[in-house]
Amino acid sequence: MISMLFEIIHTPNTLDLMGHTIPAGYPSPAEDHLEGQLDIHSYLVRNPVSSFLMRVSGDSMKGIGIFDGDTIVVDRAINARCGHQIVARLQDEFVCKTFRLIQGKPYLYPENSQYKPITITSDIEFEIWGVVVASFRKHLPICLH
Amino acid sequence: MFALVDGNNFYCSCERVFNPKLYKKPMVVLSNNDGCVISRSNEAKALGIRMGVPYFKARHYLERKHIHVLSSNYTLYGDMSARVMFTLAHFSPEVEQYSIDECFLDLSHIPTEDLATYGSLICQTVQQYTGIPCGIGIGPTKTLAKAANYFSKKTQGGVYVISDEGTRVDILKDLEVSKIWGIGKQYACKLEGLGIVNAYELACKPYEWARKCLGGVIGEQLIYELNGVACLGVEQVRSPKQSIAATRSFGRPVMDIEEMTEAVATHMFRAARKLRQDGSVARVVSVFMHNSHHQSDAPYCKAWRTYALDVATADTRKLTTAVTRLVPEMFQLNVRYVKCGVILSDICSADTVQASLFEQTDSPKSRLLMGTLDCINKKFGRQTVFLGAKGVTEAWKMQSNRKSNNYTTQWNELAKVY
Repeated sequence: MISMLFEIIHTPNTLDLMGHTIPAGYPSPAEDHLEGQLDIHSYLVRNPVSSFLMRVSGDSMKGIGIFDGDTIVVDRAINARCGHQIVARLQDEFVCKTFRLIQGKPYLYPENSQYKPITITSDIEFEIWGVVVASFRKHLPICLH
Repeated sequence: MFALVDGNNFYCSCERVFNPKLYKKPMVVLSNNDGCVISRSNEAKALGIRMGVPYFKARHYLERKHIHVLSSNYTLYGDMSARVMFTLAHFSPEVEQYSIDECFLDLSHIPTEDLATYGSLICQTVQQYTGIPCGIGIGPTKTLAKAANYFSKKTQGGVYVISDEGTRVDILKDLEVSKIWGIGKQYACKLEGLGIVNAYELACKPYEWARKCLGGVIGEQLIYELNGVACLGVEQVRSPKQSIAATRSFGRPVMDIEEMTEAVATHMFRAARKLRQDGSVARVVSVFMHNSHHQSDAPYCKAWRTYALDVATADTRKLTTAVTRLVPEMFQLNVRYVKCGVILSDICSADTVQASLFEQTDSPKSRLLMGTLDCINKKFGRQTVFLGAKGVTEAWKMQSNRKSNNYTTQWNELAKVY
């Protein structure tokens, strides 16, 4: 398992064409200028150890472009600030909402006028789980993923 | 100074990270085959659930008390373990993973007066990054760090430091011999029989006595370690395994030779993968199978065969052929087998293996094929590609009725947020 994570950190999942030797009869003028291919994984996931993927259910956050069925990257290592989109443990489920501190009191705001903000009082079971750092979705479903 | 960090109720804690319904609730995790309890939350401990109690015995009580029961999900635990270990690696240049949830750290670079604060920082960071609560014991030797860790569970804040002689003596006086790292049941009985009941009394014994009565040099080292003299360092590199076993109890008794052969082939598939991960090859294969000890109407029946190949190999096909050939010799009709397994031994590095007069070492083609097999299975999931001998239906596979989702490794099993 450790070796697998090690790969995530040190070997980007690039579409690496450089690894293949393509026999060519001439030296390419581009040879000295080649860069690594763009790596989506490390673009979305800065801290692999503390980052987790979760699935969005519902449209409470559609106002800022997080839709039902999206995948979100949640980083536990980041300390949530007012205005961050967060995942929180609220009662016995996870919610994704915008975290706000108004006069020192915590609130969970939806991004959809059809939903009401949630006031966090001391009797409510609440804990910030992590901060949403990225979200993504596929427009053409491919295979099982 | 050494630190031992370990996850609190690790498997239960892993499950809780992804399931808010389990937070602060009594819960247990069951072993392979839903056999017995191998992890309990503090709430379940408070209700009297003992470690290792067989599930069939505890079942009614668990239901009555509304204790959540989960099958073990090693895919999840392994992934979470790696995250914990990587987080710990930030805190020391020398770390040694000791088990799935325990890790030694070398903290000689931290001033003594800062150790408690540093230990606290380590636990808080692991908790924040991974969600896993930890305890940390710190002491001048690994054995004392382990003892301190035991007491950290009972301490508010989960940190316990042995930094002076007074603390060392107090803690050892409070520690039963059976709880000392390195003292198993047999030695614990022997020591108690000699009137040695706590670790302090053991630490006061002469070194020569330990060498004679406590298993030679290892015993002597234990006395040194209990007295604050470090003999064991933090081991950096795990040496390749000298023998690799893959065994599993059956979900239901197997009486069919084809099912047995499938099971043996499956175990060999796993064992060979571990062998290749170590960069090793093996020359000797063993297979065993047995029925239950507890059957009233049939005697205990165990068969064990060993076969030595001409040339050490890591090729799944060669290893599987070798063991499956042994099965017809061992298999008996009308026996209700409950378990089988394979063991690879006479293991050496793939670089140093020698060919024999009659057989070649694994060809580059074989190594390439095995490498591809491992790659595909890593990317698409274990056993996406497997040998036909393993069978497709695998009706003998173990029961795992209450397994949680693979929250961190399967796209369609991610935790949901609303």
